[in-house]
Amino acid sequence: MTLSQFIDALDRYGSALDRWPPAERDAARRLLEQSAEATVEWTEAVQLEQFIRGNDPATAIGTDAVIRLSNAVMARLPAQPRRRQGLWKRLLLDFGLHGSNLVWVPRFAMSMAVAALLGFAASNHLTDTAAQQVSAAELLSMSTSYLPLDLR
Amino acid sequence: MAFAALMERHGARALALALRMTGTAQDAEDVAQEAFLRVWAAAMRWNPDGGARFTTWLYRVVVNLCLDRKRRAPMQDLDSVPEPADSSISSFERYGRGQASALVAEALATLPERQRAAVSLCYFGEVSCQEAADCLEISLSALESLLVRGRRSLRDHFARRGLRKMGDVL
Repeated sequence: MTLSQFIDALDRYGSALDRWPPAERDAARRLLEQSAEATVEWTEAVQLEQFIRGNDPATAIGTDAVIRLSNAVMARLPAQPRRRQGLWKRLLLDFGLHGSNLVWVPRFAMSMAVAALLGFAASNHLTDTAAQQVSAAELLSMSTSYLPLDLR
Repeated sequence: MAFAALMERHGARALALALRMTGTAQDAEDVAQEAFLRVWAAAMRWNPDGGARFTTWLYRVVVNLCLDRKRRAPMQDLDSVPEPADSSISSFERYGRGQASALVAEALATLPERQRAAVSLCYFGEVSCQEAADCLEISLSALESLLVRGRRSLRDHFARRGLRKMGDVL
């Protein structure tokens, strides 16, 4: 590799020799061992890249700029369509029995009302044992484990 | 929300690339906003199994927006163009004033757009040359040609500004 080829390769691939194609990298390393001029060129290329990277105009960008960007983009996004809710979920929402944004008082009152309604409905189906024609003796026999007692 | 997390992760990179390309914070924010809105709109079309990294895709959108913006920008009135910096100021004074970043920004601004995009992606973008070529939708050899011209232009620019060797400021 000649000095002029080395300078061209420096401009093409940059100063990091490990990123060069293997054949050119090996030739460049051999040249650097022999040529002081090549070493000067390579050192200047390294310093140029260090200067540019070390003084990136974008280093002034802070987290506040990213937050501002995020807020601005989110504000400009189209509103998302509301997901369709099932009939029962909507009814429960309307009655305050579902959802986390409801105050607890109406939710508690509605829960108590539903419990009372269920209790009333259940009581209508209860059978009245006193109305049945069961003798006191039969009740006694059913409630005791003393089976040998024959009351009839 | 997942999209907010995505912006939190990649927003700084998109802003940085846009800032290096446009040169102003306001333009960079506008470009980054538009880029993420386009990402949102096209998210369903992106195929992660296709081999393309999300950052490559995002960078491509940012670069294209910057190029479009530059094309649409009206020509600047000659009177409004600032006078070139006084080259009699020594490199030490310049560095001492903490203007090294401004010097780099100024040097990037002198590059043609595609060279600037190539240099920005390869020097700062944390992407490989192949990914940078994918971002610009060009071949690897075409990207290397852009880098060759870009590096030479930067070196010439710094030399004109009195920085004959980077060792002057390092």
